[in-house]
Amino acid sequence: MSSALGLNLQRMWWRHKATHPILQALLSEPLHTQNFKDTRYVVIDLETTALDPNQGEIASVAWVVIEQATICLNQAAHFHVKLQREVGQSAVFHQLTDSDLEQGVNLSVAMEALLNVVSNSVLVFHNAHLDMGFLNKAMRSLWNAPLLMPVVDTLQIEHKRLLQRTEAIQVGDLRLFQCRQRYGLPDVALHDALGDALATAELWLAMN
Amino acid sequence: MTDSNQPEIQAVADFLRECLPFNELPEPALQEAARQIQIIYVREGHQFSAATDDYALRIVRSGAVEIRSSRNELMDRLGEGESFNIHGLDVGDEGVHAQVIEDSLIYLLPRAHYEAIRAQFRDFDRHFHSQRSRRLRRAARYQPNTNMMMLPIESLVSRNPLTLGPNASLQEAALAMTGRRVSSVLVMEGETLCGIVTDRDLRSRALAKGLPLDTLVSDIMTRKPKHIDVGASLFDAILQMTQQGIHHLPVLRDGKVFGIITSSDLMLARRDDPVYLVQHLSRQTETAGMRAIIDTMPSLLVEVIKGGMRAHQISRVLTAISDTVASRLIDLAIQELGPAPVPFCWLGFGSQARGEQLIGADQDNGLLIDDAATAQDMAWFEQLAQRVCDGLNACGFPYCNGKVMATTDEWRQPLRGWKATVDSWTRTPTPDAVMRVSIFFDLRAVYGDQALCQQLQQHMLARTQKDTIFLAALAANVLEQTPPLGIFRRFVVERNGEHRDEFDIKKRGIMPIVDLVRIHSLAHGVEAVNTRERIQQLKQKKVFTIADGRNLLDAFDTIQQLRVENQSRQIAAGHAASNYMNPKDLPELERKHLKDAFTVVHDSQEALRNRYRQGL
Repeated sequence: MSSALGLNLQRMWWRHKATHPILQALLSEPLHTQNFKDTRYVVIDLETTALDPNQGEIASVAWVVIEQATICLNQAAHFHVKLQREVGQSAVFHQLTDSDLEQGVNLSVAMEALLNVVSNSVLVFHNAHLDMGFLNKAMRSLWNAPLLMPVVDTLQIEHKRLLQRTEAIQVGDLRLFQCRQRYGLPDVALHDALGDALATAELWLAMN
Repeated sequence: MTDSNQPEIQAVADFLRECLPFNELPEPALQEAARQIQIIYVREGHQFSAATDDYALRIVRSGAVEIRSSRNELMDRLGEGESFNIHGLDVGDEGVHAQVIEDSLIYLLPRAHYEAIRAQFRDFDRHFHSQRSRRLRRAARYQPNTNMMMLPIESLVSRNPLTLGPNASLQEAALAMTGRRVSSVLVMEGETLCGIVTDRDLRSRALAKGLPLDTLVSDIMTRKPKHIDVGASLFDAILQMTQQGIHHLPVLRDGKVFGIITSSDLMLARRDDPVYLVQHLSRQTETAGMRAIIDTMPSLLVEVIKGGMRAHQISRVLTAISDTVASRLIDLAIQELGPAPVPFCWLGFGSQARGEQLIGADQDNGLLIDDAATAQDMAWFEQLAQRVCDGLNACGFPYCNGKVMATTDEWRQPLRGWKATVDSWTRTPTPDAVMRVSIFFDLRAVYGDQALCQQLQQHMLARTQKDTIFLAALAANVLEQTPPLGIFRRFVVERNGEHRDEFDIKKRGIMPIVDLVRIHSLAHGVEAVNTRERIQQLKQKKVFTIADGRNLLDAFDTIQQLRVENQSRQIAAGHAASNYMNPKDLPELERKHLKDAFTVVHDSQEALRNRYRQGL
């Protein structure tokens, strides 16, 4: 409860500062607690050029939507974002090149598209801390307020679950694909932001 | 760069591309299908039915689903990549439902898109009409090329063989044979074949003994000669001649003389064939020579598979080869040790007994000795066992890890000892006894006195046939050893170690069939040991319905075929032949066949469970 209360206070604080009408509206929505099936989820994954929001940029963003406990791929989206700086080291991780990203959209286009789909939804990430850091930074720089939305983090949930089972947690145990294996989900090849968003969404279904 | 709101969903498209019949779709249609997919996660026990669910194609992404009829009979079992349309199945049988038997991730293609694709792509549409059992049957029967060795001998048989009455003289026979330029004459009484005289008989039985020219042919002929049916294959004829050391075989049709076939007739057809090895092997005097021949078997396997020889034919050839090696080693040992003090029989167990041996088999053998043997005699047999087992090992048939070898005291006994052992195993079916029994109950005389082996086998069948408790214990053991095959989503692959992502096709595919067929055979007094023959006899005894028997036979042939082809691929790639298989290496269709075959095995296990577990 305390975190919901905290979130509400923060939302009140920021809703007047936000300069984008949709972001303002999002921060004004009442927060419902609903069961899994009736909740709309937007499962998001980012690719970034560094692990620290102050040093890197969002290179791509993708999401899939869960409605009525069903992943609806016809609502999926995937944006490559035009970078301000060069790709640098993260090209190694994501196999992105500068020229790939020259064809991307401006960050504001991707972020606005995101604002358009998250109304009355809960955001889902695998490792929310990292991706929310980037999203909040982007939102604040564009529209002066962070994206203060209810968030589910499959990594944290799994971490808690493993701790409860008092198993020693090994390095890598909480990686998305290791988590999926524990739920009997199929191995998938490493893809892109959209593939990882989908993989996270399937994990979230299996967790419920 | 694609439109951000119409993204390519690679992870889903990649999966669909591996699924029949989506693999037939052109790329744009596949990508569009991927975008329309809806994904749900359902727990074990969840049901889909036409009454409660939307019309759609549901594809199993992971997990396993059973399709059951309105009477809850199992119709199909689906694993990863397989799909069903519950409304389509419901036609003609209201109440068909899909039961989730393992937590499953289901990809759902909504009706409008599913129907649009079926309307547009004919092959895609056709897939949903095809039936599983039909597909499997085709796979088992399909023969790419007919191998020469498997042709019926009819085309090679010499018609109008030379015949004489039993009262013809030796000289008349010699004249007639010379006149026809043939090396044998059939001795007939009316329509009935009563003997054969060959060139060699004239030399060794008449000339060498100084018999007069007017001696009757019936005095020197081989009575009731071995013969062969006109429908037999070339391979059968060669094998029979080689094993019995004869060169002439009368050929019968419907019990009447049709012609004769000789070893020189067969020479034309064989040359590079493995059966030729049998002959070479039986002439070797040292293990090194045998080993050299055995070492050529892997490359031969590759050749005969290319030539279209089927798995059950290959395993018969390979079994004949290992029989020959054992027999030769026994002959050589007897040359050194002197003749056997009492009658005995060299037993082969397991795959050798069943005639289902492949490359890389280890030894499973034993010695059955006449009850007259004294303690001193038993020492002779111990020496024999030592020589033969060592020899087999040196020839490339490694020692048995479980010590199922004639060198082990328990596996080298007089008849009464064996009978007592059988009795104690069946009386107290401990897990260990049950394990031994399942090895032991597939037995065959490889060398020596067949009658001893028959007595033991009959004793064994008499003990087991009515013993429901023992059969139940055996059934429990078999069912335990074979985990449920509903898990094909991972294809029950071994998770750790060297064979990660692979599974043992012998353990998971062949042995379950062999084991369950054995139990039925023991319960119904079937004497055959070969799995295919057992299935046939069980069909004749109405233990299996014709359909079940045929499905099981098809499943056995299919799995065995994929197994030898896998070995052939391994050998061709420079690896040792093993039973490990990575399902990913199989073409899509063969993977399907394997799953189909596993479905049949699983169902047969269910039937077995129902029939014998109740005895517990």
